[in-house]
Amino acid sequence: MLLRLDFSGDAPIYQQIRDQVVAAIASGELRPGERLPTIRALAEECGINMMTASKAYQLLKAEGYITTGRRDGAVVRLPAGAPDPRTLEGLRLRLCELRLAGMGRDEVLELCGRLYDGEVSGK
Amino acid sequence: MTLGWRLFMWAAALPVLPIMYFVQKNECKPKKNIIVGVTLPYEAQGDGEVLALLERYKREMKLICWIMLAAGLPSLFLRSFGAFLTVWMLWVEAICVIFFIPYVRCNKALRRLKEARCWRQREEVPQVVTDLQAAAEEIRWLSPWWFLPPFLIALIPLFFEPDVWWAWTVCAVMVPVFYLCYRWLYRNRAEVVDADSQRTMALTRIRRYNWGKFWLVMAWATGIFNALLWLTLNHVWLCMGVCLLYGLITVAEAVSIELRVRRLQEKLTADSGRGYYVDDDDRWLWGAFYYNPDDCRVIVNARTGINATFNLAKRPGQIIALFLAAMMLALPLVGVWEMRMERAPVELEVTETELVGSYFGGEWSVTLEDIAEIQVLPERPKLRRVAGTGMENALTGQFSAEDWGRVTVCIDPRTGPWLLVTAEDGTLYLFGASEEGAAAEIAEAITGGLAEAGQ
Repeated sequence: MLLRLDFSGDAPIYQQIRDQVVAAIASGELRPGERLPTIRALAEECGINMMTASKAYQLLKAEGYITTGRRDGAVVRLPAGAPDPRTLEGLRLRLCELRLAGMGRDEVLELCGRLYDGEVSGK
Repeated sequence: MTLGWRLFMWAAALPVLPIMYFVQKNECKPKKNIIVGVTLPYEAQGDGEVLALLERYKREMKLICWIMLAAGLPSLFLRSFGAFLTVWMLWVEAICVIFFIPYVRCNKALRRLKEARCWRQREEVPQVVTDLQAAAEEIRWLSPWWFLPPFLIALIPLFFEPDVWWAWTVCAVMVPVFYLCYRWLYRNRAEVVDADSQRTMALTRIRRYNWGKFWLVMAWATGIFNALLWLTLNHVWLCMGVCLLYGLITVAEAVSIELRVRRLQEKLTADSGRGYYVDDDDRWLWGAFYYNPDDCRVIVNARTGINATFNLAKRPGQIIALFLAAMMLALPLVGVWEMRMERAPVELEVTETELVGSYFGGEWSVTLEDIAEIQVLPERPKLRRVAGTGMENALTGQFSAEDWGRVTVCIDPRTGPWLLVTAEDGTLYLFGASEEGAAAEIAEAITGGLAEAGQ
């Protein structure tokens, strides 16, 4: 999986790492049980601070996308149970934005369907 | 300085010219989609205009080769060692730098062509691309035990020739330094070229393996060199041969590893650049100097080959680069210093209490009270330098003579006679002066004084 970080963008680097790892797990590019680089290796690879790499992993761990251990480092896993309440809240906000942009229910559902299918097929 | 020595030094530096030529010429071959510091897509690598620019680059380099070869010849006719050293160092430095001129010209032309033909992925390319699978691969470092035998070999002379312990120690210490370089200078950055993780991992392993090999060979060569240096210490030409051999082996090893890694990079990325490929040209000034304020690393991998370079956007990187540039500029000053030393006379004088020999700011003295005997030598004894200066016009410091053993020396070897002074405690001094006959007069004055003191 290629991690592409944009240093000139508005999103913080740790958020970019988190988002791309989640997207890669969803698309199947990263499979459960697959090992991720250690915090030190990730920081070295990306030329970022260790704290930034650590923050990204903490976020992923808290959301259940990875487990970390002394021996194996970070390992990908699928989050168990219902989505995080913050995810649902974020989705609700985005739906509000689409409604305010003038999109109807059917249009929004069609758009969501297309995006979902695109993610599943990895496009 | 004899013509033989000048030829020896000239010949020792001569290989730098073809090495620089072939290493720079190698930049024309696409490796990781990079040609002369410019990332190009697959279809552009065989483009007619690109090939024409590369041909011009090669022609310019060939011309430089002939010019530099001719430029080195006049130094052979300089008799003064200092003058020769200054010109010789300027020549070697010019060889190292001058090939950069056609490189930059070609790089700029290729960049312009790339812009004109829209061979870039500006919109798609993020600033940093990392392959997570390759980054997760565990590094298997060489065990430090591999570096222990050469370290022990390098220490052997210390037990047999402890007089020059500092020289053996400096050489021996280089072995653990090489281990530290191997372990800590390596940049653990995967060689991402495109989205193919297997290719990235293969390229990374090649670089890692050859990095370890380079430092290990350096450690063993240095350990053996130290031992051979001790064995040939009494045979000047053999000793010089060992030094030359060590230089040749290390340079040949460095060049062959660099070219081997480049060849493998070329082979492994021969079909890359068709779809998505990494293009970070914007972070490389003239395709060779890394400048990225967003990157917190100071040392980064060079774009091709095995080498490393500095991030010039970081203060430590700028300081290191400036320091290295200053060192390069200052090297010819060693020759200027030598020229001053060549002109400085060896002086000998008697004060009320001491006999003092002086040369170029240094002084070697013995108190008159301590002098047990003075012999005037019309013939200069055969001396072997242990520590000090050994020039055509001056020998100073600690020397060893076959008949007497250790002797402290301050003489001009060209003008005799020379005074062998034996101190009360048995310490030997050999004094002389650049001024003809000065030493004999001083010997007379001292022996007269000693005789009076005896009466």
